[in-house]
Amino acid sequence: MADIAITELSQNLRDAIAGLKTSEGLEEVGIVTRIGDGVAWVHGLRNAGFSEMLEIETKEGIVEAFALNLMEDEIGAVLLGSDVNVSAGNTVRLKGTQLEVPVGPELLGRVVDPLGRPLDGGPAIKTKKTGLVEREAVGVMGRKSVHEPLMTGIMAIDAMFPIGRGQRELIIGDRQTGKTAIAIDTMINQAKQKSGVVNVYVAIGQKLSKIARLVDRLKQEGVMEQTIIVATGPSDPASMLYLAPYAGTAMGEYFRDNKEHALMIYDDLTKHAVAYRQMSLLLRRPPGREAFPGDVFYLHSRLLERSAKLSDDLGAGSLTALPIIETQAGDISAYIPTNVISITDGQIFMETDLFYQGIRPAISAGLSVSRVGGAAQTKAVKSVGGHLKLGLSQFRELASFAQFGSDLDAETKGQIERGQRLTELLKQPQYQPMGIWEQVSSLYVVNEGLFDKVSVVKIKDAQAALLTRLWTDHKEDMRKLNSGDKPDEKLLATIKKVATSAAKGFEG
Amino acid sequence: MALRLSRRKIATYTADQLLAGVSKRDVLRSVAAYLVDAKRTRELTLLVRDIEDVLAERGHIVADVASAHPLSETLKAEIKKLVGGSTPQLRELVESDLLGGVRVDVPGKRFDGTIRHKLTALRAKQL
Repeated sequence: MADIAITELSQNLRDAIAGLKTSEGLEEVGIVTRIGDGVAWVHGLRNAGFSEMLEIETKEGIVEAFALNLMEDEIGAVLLGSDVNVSAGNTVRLKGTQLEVPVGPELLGRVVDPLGRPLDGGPAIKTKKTGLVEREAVGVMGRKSVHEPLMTGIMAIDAMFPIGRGQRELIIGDRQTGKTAIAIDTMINQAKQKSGVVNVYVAIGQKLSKIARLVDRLKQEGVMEQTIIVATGPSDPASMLYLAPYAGTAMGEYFRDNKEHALMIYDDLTKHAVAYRQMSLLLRRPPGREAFPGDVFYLHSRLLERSAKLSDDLGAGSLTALPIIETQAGDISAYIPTNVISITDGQIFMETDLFYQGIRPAISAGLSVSRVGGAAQTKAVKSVGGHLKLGLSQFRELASFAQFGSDLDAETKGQIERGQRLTELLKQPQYQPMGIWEQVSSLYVVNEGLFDKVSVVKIKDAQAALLTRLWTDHKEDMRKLNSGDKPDEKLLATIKKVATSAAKGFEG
Repeated sequence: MALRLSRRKIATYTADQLLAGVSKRDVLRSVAAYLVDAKRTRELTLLVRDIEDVLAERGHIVADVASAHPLSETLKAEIKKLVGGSTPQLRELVESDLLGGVRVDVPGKRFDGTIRHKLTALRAKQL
């Protein structure tokens, strides 16, 4: 082996660097060859990376785009603004960065677009940090199993399909079945219960009037201070609809990574998939089933995988996701619904029939499931909601026999009557999430048959009377129950006593 | 059906043939025949840019220099130094709406020191 003067190696390398000619000021550029439908085709920029930001210089100023199709001869880039001023021949520059959005507590209480620009007419948002819109999910060792409850305040969900912090629970159903209502109530409950969970609501292609109504309601309920709304309307470019959930997740991840808890609501991923389909078809990617591109599963799996419960080493923060999917005529076996069902840790299925029967929230007990939430359910609710789902499912099966009431055996008749009372009890008006003590006492009373003599139509009145009396006469006990611990015998006896006397006024 | 050749491949072939000393007329005739046969004559401008790209990679650089006023010899020498390559050639163009400064375009790269560009960048920053 030849002698190598290692001591001189460093100096030699420095000399070699100094001897290299640099072309300072020379930027890599390309030109727009074609433009249309929000997609620009660019010649040149051979060093562009996937999802890298580009700047198109037009006569009216700079228009930003991001590279999605990297091919041998050209690049397909999706514009982040209007394509009106972009024309063939415009110069395109590499920005050298991937898309980032502002993140941090400064965004709380604000309505922003997917690039973090304010839409609420408020002052410009200046944050200390920015977050990558596309980011890899946390690995296996960075996670912990879901074990803390995230109370929605909706009795049917908290008792039968509990959601834990870090879980992904899909809300699925036809249009106008109360999907968004569940998400809003969950947000309201976080403020009402002072859970400290930050809400990030991502509106994907939602009517702007609906978003405005939502903001008003959240302000009215005092929830807006702990909420970020990422809004896109139907007239926004498909690229903005595509980016919205990723941008929202980047904003939520800030809280997750800083030992806090955040709740993501994606309303809805059906429109997101449709926006991505539009982009993919315009980028001439091969269409697959229902004309969606081949990577539509990855589109949602990589998004939802970012929701997680972090390990203690990483600060034990969490990001919970409630994606929403709209079905057509209750068909959950369509392409996008099956994809998202398989990605998430359970689903809450909303039924049109139940909604029109007045059973609201119209949650289907048979088709809904929570795969990991059981471990996160509070002991108090678990102690009374254990057999609820089975009982309710059996009742819905038997309900069709209810009309032959006189010919049924006593046991079936009893099951039907209990089911009717339970169904009535689980009805809950919008914007009125319930605390743990309200849920536990209501369910305990029906399970114990204390309301068996109350007529079905008067169940809600009896429940209201019970809750008022409990809160007025046993405030401290109820506060204790609200902590989530399993109620002791003394407490249950108190509830029993109050329920028996409350029921008397509604018998018949 | 024959595979569609990418422009990059056609450009590499053309540049290599030209640099190998094959008659320019013969090379360009065969490329032209291919473009007509493959109904790809619309890609002519882009193909020329690609050929310029490959030639630049091999050290033969042609630079388009645009300025608001005609360039002095000193400036031209400076630009040639900036562009690099063994025998850089300059194609000059006077565009009064650049207001001042100079813009140098080499294949795939640009140096923009014009006042118009600076104004556009300033406006984008303010937005």
